[in-house]
Amino acid sequence: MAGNLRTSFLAMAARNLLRNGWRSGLTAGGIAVSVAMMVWTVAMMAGFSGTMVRGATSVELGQVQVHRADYAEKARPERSFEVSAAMLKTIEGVPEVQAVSPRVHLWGLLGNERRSQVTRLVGVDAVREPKVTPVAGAVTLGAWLSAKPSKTGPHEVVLGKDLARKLNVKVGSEVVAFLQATDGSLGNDLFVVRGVVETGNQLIDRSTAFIHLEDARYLGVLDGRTHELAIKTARLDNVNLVAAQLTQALRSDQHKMASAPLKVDPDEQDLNAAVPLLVQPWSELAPDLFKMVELNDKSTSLLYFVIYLIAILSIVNTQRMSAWERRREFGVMLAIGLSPARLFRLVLTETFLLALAGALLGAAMGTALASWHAAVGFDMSMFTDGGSFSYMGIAFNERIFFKLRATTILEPTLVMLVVGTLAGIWPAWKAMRLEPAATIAGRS
Amino acid sequence: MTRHSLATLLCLILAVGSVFLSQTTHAAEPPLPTNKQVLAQLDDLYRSKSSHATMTMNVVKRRSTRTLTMEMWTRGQDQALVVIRKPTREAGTATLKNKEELYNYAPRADRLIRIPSGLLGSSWMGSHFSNDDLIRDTSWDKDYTTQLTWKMAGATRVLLARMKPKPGAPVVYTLVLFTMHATHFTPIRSEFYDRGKLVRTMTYDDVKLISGRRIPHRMVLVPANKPKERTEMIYERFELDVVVPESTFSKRGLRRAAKR
Repeated sequence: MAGNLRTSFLAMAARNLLRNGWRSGLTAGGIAVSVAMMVWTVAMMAGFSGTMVRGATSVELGQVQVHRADYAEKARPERSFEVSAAMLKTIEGVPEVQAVSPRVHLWGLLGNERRSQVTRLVGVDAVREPKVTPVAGAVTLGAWLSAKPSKTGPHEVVLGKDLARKLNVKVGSEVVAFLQATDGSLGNDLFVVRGVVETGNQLIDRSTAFIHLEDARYLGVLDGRTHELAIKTARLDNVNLVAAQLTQALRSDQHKMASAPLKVDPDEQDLNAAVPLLVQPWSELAPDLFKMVELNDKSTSLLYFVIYLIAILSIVNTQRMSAWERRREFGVMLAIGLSPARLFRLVLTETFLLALAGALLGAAMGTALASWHAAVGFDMSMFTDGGSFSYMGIAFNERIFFKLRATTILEPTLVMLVVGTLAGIWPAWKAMRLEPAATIAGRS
Repeated sequence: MTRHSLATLLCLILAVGSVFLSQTTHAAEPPLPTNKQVLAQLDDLYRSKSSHATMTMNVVKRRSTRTLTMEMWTRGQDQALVVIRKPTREAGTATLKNKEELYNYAPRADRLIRIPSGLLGSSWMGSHFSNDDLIRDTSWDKDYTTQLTWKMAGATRVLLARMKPKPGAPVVYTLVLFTMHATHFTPIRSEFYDRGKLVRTMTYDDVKLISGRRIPHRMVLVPANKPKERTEMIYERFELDVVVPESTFSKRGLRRAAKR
C-alpha cells in the first residue's frame, strides 16, 4: 500500500509537471543550461591554465631548474657552478626526468655598425636544449645550432624573430657580441646568424640569442662553468615531487644542497666557495605565473558562484510563479483532504524531478560540448585578428584544448540538483499554508 | 673684578675682534671673475683643437679592481678615439666617437658595433663613467646658467660655481656644483645632482702645466649610491694641440690605431 502510494505520489508529481509542459520545460531548461555552461567553462579554464603553464614552462623554463642557491636569489653572472657528466647522469636517473640542458646566461650588446641591441645571450648545448624545450622546432628561418660547434668556422647564433628584425639581419649575416665578462673584462666575438626562432615567448623572440655553450663560456670567461640546468619532467602535476627527488639524488651524489634561495653579500663572498645548489619547480621559478594560475582558479570560482546564483534565482522565480498560478489547484487538493504535509512533499518532489531532469540534461549537453572541444580544440581566433595570440608573454595557438575531469561534470550537476530542490522549499511552504476555501473562491 | 671675569672679558674682546677681522677679510674679497672667464676654461679643460694622451684607468668595484691602460686622441669637440692597450686580453678594444655617433670596436671580431642612443647612460668599458660622459657635447658655458660665489674651504678661498641646466639643454643632471681654484679656475671637485639627490662626485688633482694650461692629471669618480666603488683616471702623458689627422677617426684609422 505504502509503495503504491509512493508510486502514485511520484506519478502525480510527474503528471503535474507534464500538465504544463512549457513551464516545466523552461525551468528544467534553465537548470540544464546552467549546468552545461558550468561544465563547459570549467573545462575551458582548466585547458587554458594548462596551456599557459605548459607554454611558459616548456618554451623557456623547463619544469624544474637547478642553480647555485645565491644565483636563485640574484642572477649575477659570476654565480656559476661546475657540471660534470656524472651529475647530468644522476639527474637523468631520477624518475619522470625526461631531459636536462645546461645553460649559460650573459647580457651584452649584439649588433653591427648600423644597429645594436641589448641582448640576452643564452649558451646552450645544441643537442640537449631541444630535448627540454621546443626551441629547435620553433626555427622559422635557417636552422638550429649545429650539433657540434665548428672549430674553424664562424661561431653560430640563433636569434629571436623580433631581435633579428630590429637588428635588420638575415640568416648568414654577421653580428658582433660585445659584453663585460664575469671577471669584469670586455669580451667580444663575431657570430654568423644560423637561424631565427619564433616561439611566441616575448623574452625569447624580442631579446634572446642562442649560442653554443662553449662559445658563451669563452665570451663570458666562465671557465667551463654553468649558470643553470633546465629539466623537463614527464608531467606537470607532480613537479614538486620530482624537484624533491632531484634534491635528494644530488645530495647523495655529494653535492651541497640548499632548500631556499641564499642571500649572499657580494662583499663577503668568496667566489670559489662551495655555495650549495638549489632545485626549484616552475611554480617557484615563475611565481607570477603561478599566482596568475591561482588567481585564475579563484576568479573562476567567483564565476561559478555567479552562475549558481542566477540559476537559483530563476528557479525560485519559476517555482513561485507556478505556485501562484496553481493556488486554486492546491486549494482544491487541500479541500478534498490532502494533508498540508503531503502537499508540501508533492511540490518539493515536483521541483526535485525538474532539477534532476534539468541537471542530467545539462550534464549531458555540457559534457558533449566540452569533450568535443577537448578533442578538436576551441577556436580562439574569433577573439584575435588571426594568428596566435599571446598572454603574459606566452603564445597560445588558435585552439585551446579543454580539459574534462569527472569532478568537472559531477560537481555542477550535484550542486544544481541540491540547489534546485532547495529552491522549491519556499513555494512548497506557501502551498501548504493556503486557506482552501478562500483560495478556491478566488478571494486570496 | 675677579680674575675670572677678567678672563671672560678678554675672551669677549677677542671674539668681537675676530668677527670684525673676518668681516674685513670679507670686504677685501677680490672681485668675482666673469662667468665667461671661468666657463670657457672649464669647457676647454680636456678639449682643444686636438690632443693625444696615454692614461691609466682604475675601476674599483666591490669585488674586483681592474686596471686598464688606454691611449686617446681627440680632435675638436666631436671626435675622439680611445684604444685599450692593456691588459692583453682586452688590448685593441676601442671606442670611437665621430660626430653624433658612438661605436665600440671589437678586436676579436674586427668589427665596429654601434652603441644605440638608449645606452648612452650606461657604463663605458665597465667603468663608472657613462658612454654619455664620453660623447657629451654640452658646454658649461652655453647649456648652463651659472652663479659664481667665493667660499672658504678651511684657510683657502675657492670659487664655487652653481650650475643649473638651461631649459631644453641635453643634460641629465639638474644641478652641478663645481669647486674651483680661486685664481686659475682649475676644478677641485664637482658634484652632480639629479632632482636634489647627489648622483656622483668627482675630484680633480695632480695639476700639471701643459702647453701653458693647468690640467688636473687625476680624476676620481665616486658614484653616490656605491661609496665604496670608484673609477680613477690618471693621465700618464698629455699633449695638447698636436697633429691628429682627421683620418684617425675613420674605420681604417681606428683599425690602424687599435692594432698597433
